[in-house]
Amino acid sequence: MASCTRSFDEEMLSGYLDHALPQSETRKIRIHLEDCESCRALYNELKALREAARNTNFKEPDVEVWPELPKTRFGFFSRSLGWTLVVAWLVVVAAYALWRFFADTGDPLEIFLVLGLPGGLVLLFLSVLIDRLRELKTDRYRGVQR
Amino acid sequence: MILPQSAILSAPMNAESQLVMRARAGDPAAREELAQEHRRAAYFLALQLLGNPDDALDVAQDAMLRLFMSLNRFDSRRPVRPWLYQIVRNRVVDLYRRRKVRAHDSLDALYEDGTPRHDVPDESIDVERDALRSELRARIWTALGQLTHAQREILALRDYQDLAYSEIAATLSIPIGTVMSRLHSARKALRRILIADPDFVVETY
Repeated sequence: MASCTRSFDEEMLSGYLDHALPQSETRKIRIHLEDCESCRALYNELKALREAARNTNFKEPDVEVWPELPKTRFGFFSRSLGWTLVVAWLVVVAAYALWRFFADTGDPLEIFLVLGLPGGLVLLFLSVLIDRLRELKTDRYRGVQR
Repeated sequence: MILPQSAILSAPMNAESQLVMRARAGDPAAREELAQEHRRAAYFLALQLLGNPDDALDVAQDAMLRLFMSLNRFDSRRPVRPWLYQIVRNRVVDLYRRRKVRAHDSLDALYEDGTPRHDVPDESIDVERDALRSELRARIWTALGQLTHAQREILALRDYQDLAYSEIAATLSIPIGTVMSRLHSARKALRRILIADPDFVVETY
C-alpha cells in the first residue's frame, strides 16, 4: 500500500462525508481518495458507520405519554409573580428585622418570629451553594456549555 | 458548504416562525402543532444521549414543558430545533449530575439479548444483509456508551439527528470549525472501539 501524501487535515474527510466543504476542497479530497487506498478505506468505514447510525429506527413513545401542554400563560406569569413576591417579602422582612435589632427596640421573641424564617432560608441556601461549589471541582460535565 | 450562523438570524419569516408566534399568542392549535412537530426529536435525542427509554421520556417531557414555558423569551426568527436540543442536553446533564451515574452505564443496561429494545428491524427481503446491518447498528449503539459525553453528543446531533453543521454549532454554542474536528474525532473514537473487536467487520456501503 502506497504511503498517504494528503495535503489536508484528516478531519476534512468528515466534512467531505457530510457535504460540508466548499467546492474546491471537495474536489481536492475526491481526487485524493481516488489515489490513496488508506484514506479511502478510512472514508468508507466512516461512511458505513454514519449510514448505519442514520438508518437506526427508534420506536416512538405512545401519544398519550406526552403531558398536556399548559393551555394559557397563567402558569408562567403566576410562577414569575410568585417568586417576585417571595423574594421581595424576604428582603423587606429581613431589612425590617435588622433595623429593629440594631435600633434595639424589638423584643427577642418578635425578632425571632420575624427573622427566623428568612434567616433559616438564607443559611440553607448558603449550605447548598457551598456544596455545589465543592462539587464543581470534580464535575465531569463542567465543560458542557449551557 | 458550511452555513454561517448569521444566516440563521437573517432567515426570512418562515412557516415555523409564524407557528411560534401563533403559539406564543396562545393559539391552542399552533401549540399542539408545535409540540407534535418537535417532541419526537426531543425524545430521540434524549434517548441517544442517555441510552435509556424511560429516562429519555422523562427528559423529553420535561424539555417540552420548559420549551412552552419559555416560549415568550424565544426569538421566533431562529429555528426551534437547536433551542429545543439545548434544553434537552441541559436536562440530560442535570440528570447525570443528580444521579451520579456515568452515561455508558445506562446505555449498557439496555441490552438483554444483544439487540436494542428500541431498534425496529428492517423489513426488506435481503434477510442476511439486514441481519448484518442490524448487528452493526446494535454494535454502534453499544459503542456509543463508551464514548465521552461530548463525543456522543456530537454524533447524536449529526449522525442520528442529521443536523447541519451550522445547527450543531448553534446547539452546542461552539464555532462551526470546531464541529468538524470534534465530529471527526468522535467518529474515529467510535471506529477504534468497534475495530478493537477481532470479530468485527465493517460492511462498507
